[in-house]
Amino acid sequence: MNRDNQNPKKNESISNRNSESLPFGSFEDLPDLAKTTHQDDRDLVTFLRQYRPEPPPEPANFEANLIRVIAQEPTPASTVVNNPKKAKRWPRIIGAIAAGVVGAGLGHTFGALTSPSGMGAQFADADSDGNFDSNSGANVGRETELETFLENSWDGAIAQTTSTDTSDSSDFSPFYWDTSGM
Amino acid sequence: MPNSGKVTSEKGEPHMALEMADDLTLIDQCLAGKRSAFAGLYRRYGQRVRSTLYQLCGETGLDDLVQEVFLRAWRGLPKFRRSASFSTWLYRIAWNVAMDRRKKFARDRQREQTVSDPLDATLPDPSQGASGQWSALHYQDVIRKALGTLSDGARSVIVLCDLEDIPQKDVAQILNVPVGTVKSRLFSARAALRKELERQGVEL
Repeated sequence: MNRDNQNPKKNESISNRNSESLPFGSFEDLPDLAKTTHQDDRDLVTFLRQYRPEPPPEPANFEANLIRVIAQEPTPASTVVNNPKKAKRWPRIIGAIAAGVVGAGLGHTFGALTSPSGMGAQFADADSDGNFDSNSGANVGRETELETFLENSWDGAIAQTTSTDTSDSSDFSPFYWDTSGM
Repeated sequence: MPNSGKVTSEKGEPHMALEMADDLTLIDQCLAGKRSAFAGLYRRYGQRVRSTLYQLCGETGLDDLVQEVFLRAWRGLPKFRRSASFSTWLYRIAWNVAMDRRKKFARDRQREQTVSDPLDATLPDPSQGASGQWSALHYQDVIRKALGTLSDGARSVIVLCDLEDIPQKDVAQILNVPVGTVKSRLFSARAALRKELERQGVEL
C-alpha cells in the first residue's frame, strides 16, 4: 500500500513542484500511454466484433443427429467413479508404504554391514583396494578388544571345564586357581 | 441399453422446462440417464461452441468438430467437477478439440492450403464499388485471414477474449494458464493482429 496516495496534500505538493520543471505543465498533462493503448485495443475489439466471421448455419437435423449418436453411447452415470480423489489416493498410499518397507530393509542391511559388531565389521576399515589399514587407531583399538574378549572367553571356557571335571587334575592345571580359602 | 425409441419419446417433452433448468440440474438429469436434458445443454451452448470452433479452425469439418465436442462432453460428464462453470468446462473441451484438429492440419499443411484458398478468392474488395454488405463480408474475410496468421496461442486468446467475450479468468481456466499469461498473450496477440490488419489495408 502506497502511503503517499493516502495523503492528498503531499501528492498535491509533489505535483506542483514537478509542474514547474516539466515543459507540459503537470502530471495530468502527460500523454497517458496506457489510455492510448487501451483505446487502440478498444478500437480493435470493436472492429473484430463488428465484422466477426460468422459460422455457417448448422444443418437442420444436426441436433437430432447428435442426440441419436449420444443415444448409442452408454449412460454417463454407468462410468461414474464414486470419488476420483480417493481413487487417485490409493496408489499413492500403497506406493508410499512399499517405499517405506524397501527403505527400512535397505537401512537395516546397510546398518548391519557398517556397524562395528556386524557382519561387515571386518570390511569397515578396508580401503578401496580391499586392504586394511592396520595403523589406524580404530583398528588397533578393535584388535585389542578382540584379544581381550578371546582371552576372557578362553579363561572362562577352561575354568568351566576344570570345575566340572571329576578327576583330580586341578593341581596340574596352570589355569586353575583355588579360591575356596579366600 | 439406450435406444432411439426412448430418445424419440423424450423429445416430446416441452422445451421450456429444459430452458428454465440451470446447467447443474440438466447435468444431474444427464447423469441419471435422461438424454433430453443433454439436448437442453446443446441448445444453450451449441451455437457458441460452433462459433468458437469456426473462429479457431475454419469451416472445414465444422459439424464433425461440434459433434465431437458434445460427444466428449457427454462421456466426460461424470468427471465434471463443479468448481468451474459448465460453460468454461465445455469451452475447454472445444479448445482441446480445436487444437487436435489444428495439429492434424499442421501435419498436412498442403491440404489445408487447398481447402482454404478457393474461399479466399470468392470475396470481393469493397474498394471496387461494392455495397455495405459486401464490405462487411470483405472485412470478415480480412479478419479470418489475419487470425490465420497468428500462432495457436495468440489466436486462442483473441477468439476467446475478444470475439467470444469470455472473461479473462475463465479463459485462463480454459487454457489452463495463469491470468497473467492470458493478459500478456492477449497484449502481444492484439499487437500482431493489428499489424496484420493494417498490412491488409484496414485503418483502425
